[in-house]
Amino acid sequence: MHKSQHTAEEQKLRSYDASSDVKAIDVRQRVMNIITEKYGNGAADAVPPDARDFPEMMQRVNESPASAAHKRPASYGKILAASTSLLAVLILGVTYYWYADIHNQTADIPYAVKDYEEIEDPVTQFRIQLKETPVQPGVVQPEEDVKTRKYQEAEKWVEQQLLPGEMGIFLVGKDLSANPSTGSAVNPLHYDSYSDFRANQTELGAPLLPEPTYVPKGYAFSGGEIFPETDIALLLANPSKTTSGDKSKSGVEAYFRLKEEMSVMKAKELGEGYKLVWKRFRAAGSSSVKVSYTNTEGQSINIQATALHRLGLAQFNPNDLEKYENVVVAGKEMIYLKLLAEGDQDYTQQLVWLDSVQGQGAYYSLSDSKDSSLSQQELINVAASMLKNKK
Amino acid sequence: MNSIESIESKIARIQAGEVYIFADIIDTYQNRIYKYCLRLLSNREEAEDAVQDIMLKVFEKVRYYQPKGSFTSWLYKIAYNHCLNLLRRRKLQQQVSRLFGREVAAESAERAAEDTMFSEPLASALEMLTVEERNLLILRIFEDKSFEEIGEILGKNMEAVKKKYGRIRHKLKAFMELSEKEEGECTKASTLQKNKN
Repeated sequence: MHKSQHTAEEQKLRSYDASSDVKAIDVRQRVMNIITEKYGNGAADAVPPDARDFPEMMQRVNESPASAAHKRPASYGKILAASTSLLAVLILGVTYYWYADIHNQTADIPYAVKDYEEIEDPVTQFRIQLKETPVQPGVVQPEEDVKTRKYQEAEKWVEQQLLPGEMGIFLVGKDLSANPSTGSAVNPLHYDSYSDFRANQTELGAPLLPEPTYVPKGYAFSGGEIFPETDIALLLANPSKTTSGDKSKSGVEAYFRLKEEMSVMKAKELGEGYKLVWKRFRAAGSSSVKVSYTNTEGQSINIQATALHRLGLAQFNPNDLEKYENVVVAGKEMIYLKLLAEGDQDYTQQLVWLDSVQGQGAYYSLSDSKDSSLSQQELINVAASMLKNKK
Repeated sequence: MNSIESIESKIARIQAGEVYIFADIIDTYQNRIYKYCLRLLSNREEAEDAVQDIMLKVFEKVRYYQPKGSFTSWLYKIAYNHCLNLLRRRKLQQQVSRLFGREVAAESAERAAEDTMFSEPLASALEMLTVEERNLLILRIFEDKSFEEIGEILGKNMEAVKKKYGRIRHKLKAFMELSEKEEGECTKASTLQKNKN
């Protein structure tokens, strides 16, 4: 409501307002200190879950020890030749079945269906949940529309300036010193081979994403991406990701300092009175990775792993879904989501779950692409093969 | 990966674990909420402490926040309930204090007068209203809230809010006239006294 909407009588009452001499307060630091003392600050204080919190659902099969050397009987040449041939045939056969099993497993993985229930990690309290997010009534004001457009322009522009593996923080607004919009943009590292992706994933301390040993027929690995760390507080407080201490508190202070420092930097004009300033960061770590498998028709399966942040949340709107249910695959509870056909998302179904691989807790999301003909069972088969391949 | 940094999207980022973004929320609202608390509590120290406690409550509840209405209304609702609790506690403390002597209550009243956010005759007239009535007036007249927003804050429908507001306005007008009349008589008496001397 604006002043003009007040009646004359209300305007008269407003004239008795004596609040003009009230000095402004600033409780930011005090509140943030209490919050960080009480709850930590996102991933900075997240405790890595241990095996008790994420019990291994699949028993690891002990690999057979290397065969003991046999003493060859010198006088059994024929037998040896026949045995060698037989062995070669056997090896070829086993190799074929192993290959076929990995790349085109046909046996469907059984799973149990339950009513939807949110999933929460007991350590970080990261949750996956469905929550209705109704559309806000009212018309978008023209100024808000410009603000949105300028924010998107800024994000795109910053993205183009970044080298692979970098992230940029930006401020955009008419007056950069008066609560401008803040945002971040990233340019992920891209890998064409799974082995390169895997090697760098480990080196950068990114969440581990077990390779699926099954992908539906026709699909093959098409690329892996490692997203640079985007948690501003974590980047500023502890860029090397190696020091310990109270990262969260110093992160908040550093964030304030950065915003102040950036607000006086030389700005780029975005037009219509909007300005942009940005700063480049070369992240020392990563908290999110993604791999894609594509078929010849251009359809894909995308799998993403994101490190668990304390009190983090992955939320989906049930109004966008045709079907949702919990499924238990090889002892691991997941949420299956099937999107409404008329939705504007770029996938049709998704499986999400929380898991721990080598002591690192992560949020996993496995989805198909628009116009995909994959079934729920095929998606579950892929997820099951990832659970099986945890090392 | 990012969407527009509206308050709603900042809330989503906080819910997703970017706790430090909450500093921006505090930055945006702290002084608005401070004035609102000051108008209800009439005590600067209490109002500042209240803002701190309200912001902590907001942070604790933010993961359960559902964007059904506006975030601002949700925040005002928390602020109002917090102030209401403080006023109830203060009333109880004053009742207890009266049992042990009047000094404490007198001191509080004096301080409240210093921190009042309204000039006469509105200040005296507001004193005659209940906290709920005062709150509705403050939201409408000084916090620039629409009836729809007030309905969201109070958890009532807009028509009920409008009707109640109408009744309060009549009540307030009567109190203000009475207060002005009393003030006039006091001034007259004081002038007479002066002339007599």
